[in-house]
Amino acid sequence: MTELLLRTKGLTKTFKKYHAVNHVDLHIRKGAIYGFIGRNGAGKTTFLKMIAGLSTQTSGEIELFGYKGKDLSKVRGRIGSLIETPGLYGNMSAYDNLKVKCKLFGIREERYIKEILETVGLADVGKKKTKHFSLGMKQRLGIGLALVGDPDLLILDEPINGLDPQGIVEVRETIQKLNKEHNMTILISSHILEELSKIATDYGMIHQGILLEEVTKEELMERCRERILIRVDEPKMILPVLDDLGYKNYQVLDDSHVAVYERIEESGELNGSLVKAGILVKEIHVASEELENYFIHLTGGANHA
Amino acid sequence: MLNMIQMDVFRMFKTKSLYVIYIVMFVIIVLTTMLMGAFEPDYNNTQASMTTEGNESQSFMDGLADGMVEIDADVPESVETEAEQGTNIGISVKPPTEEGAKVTVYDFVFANLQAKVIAIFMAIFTVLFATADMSSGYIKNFAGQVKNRWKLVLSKAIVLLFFTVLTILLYVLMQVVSMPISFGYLEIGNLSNFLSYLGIQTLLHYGFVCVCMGFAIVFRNNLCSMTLSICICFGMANILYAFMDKALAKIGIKDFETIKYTISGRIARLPMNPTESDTAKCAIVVAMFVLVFVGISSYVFHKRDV
Repeated sequence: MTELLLRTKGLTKTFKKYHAVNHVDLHIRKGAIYGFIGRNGAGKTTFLKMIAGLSTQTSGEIELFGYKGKDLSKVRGRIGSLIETPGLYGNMSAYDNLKVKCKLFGIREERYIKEILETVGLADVGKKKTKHFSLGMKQRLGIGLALVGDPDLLILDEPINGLDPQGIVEVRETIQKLNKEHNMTILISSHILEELSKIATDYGMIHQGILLEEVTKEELMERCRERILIRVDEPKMILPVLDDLGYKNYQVLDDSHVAVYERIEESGELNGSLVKAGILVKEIHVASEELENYFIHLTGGANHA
Repeated sequence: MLNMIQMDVFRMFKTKSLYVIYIVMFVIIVLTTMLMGAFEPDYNNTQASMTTEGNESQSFMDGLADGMVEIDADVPESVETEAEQGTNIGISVKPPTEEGAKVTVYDFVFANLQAKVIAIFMAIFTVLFATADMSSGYIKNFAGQVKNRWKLVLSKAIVLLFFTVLTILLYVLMQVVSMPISFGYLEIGNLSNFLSYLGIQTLLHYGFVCVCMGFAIVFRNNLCSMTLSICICFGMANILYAFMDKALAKIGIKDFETIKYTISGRIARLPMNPTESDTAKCAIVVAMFVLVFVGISSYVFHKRDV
């Protein structure tokens, strides 16, 4: 069984009567890039703040690196986080901003700060004050600050928000590098799903404070991939026909739909065979789903998205 | 804890407002001292005639500081503290130089400290410093990673002690530098009394700084905290103390003076030749306020979401 780095059980955060996070049971494997998907206001930031130790839960439990309850404080230092917008001292340079946090961690080596600046692509900014930085530069410095202390779990809340395409690519590459080269587990939230799908290995989908689903990348791709979708009255009736035709990769979705995941180009022939077998096919078509559409369907339709 | 203190010291010296405040303080100290120096030939004469006529003190600074800062040329026959003058609202800087005597550094230090001129500068910086990590959002980068978040407040309180001592020393240095320029001579005054007065005032000012830090952390609002702190410097709290005294009198506790048990009251009323009893009372008041305000702000900061 894969080692879990983070596990939450019934995690809840309530503001007066409003449940910002509602009984969330989330699991993150060690070494994963966990994509935390949700619309604005879904409860992503509130959840991440609780994990990062910036906010306390109303109820529920967090287990980090095998520690929970009061013992959590022992491992808080192993988490780096960039929550919402990067918090920087505008009158200081990138170097000095990093130095402030390094002092807190008792890190004295100048080389350490320079390495972080190199990692996030800010090695050449010199003494420029961060208030004059572009949003992309600020985001990258925010990630750099989260890296101080060499965390095992990196929490990034919407790190590509407001970035230009080049900035998005750079941040994506940085995240992948940290994951591969430093074996860092990364929890990254976003509502830009296509971008998340390029790096995440696991997904959690949250809506109105409730975690709707947790899937691996493979499972998600499976659900989103191209397929022949058949609508019939009784799905069980067509299964022997599919077996006779040599189909092996198919799935009964509900009491009226069957999805076939192979020989997509033969949908016409399949329809003919089903009719010949005396099955009334109400609808047959090739369907595929973008990650965004999948999420929209999951959260209750486009009117909510 | 040591790392937190080192971080805060680094942050303090990287804060632009520290230098701005010191520059403004220096300019004000030099200007006011120079103004006093410029009027010195008439200083004693004016005092003599004023004393003879028994008039109220004459202000040199009226109109120069919109009536907010009053530097009074009146030289009392004996040293007066606020206790003897009655309760002031506003700032009254009154060097206690005796008739015919030379103006000393101690006179100016006494006047400026008891009038809470230096305390205003300290209050402004303290509020900015205590909330800088919250207002910039930098706190999010590390608040979750420290084991005991309340220690961050304790660290700030320790660094502010360093700031208080540094500011008082710098102020005295500014005063020493501006005296020969303005008066053409440098007279320190009674060194023993001066040092003990300075020590107790440093302690009292530190207590005041902790109160300002408490406001800043609890209210999380620079404007509100700064206004409150400056109002205390201006003696606005005296109105509240008067009401409290009156209320206590009504329930039978007569002759109680709340102001005696406050930091601002102690700063204003500390005599030039403090006794051991004065020192002990001031130390108790400071300890009480530091414990309460650092304690409350630590607790609030620890419990509150970032």
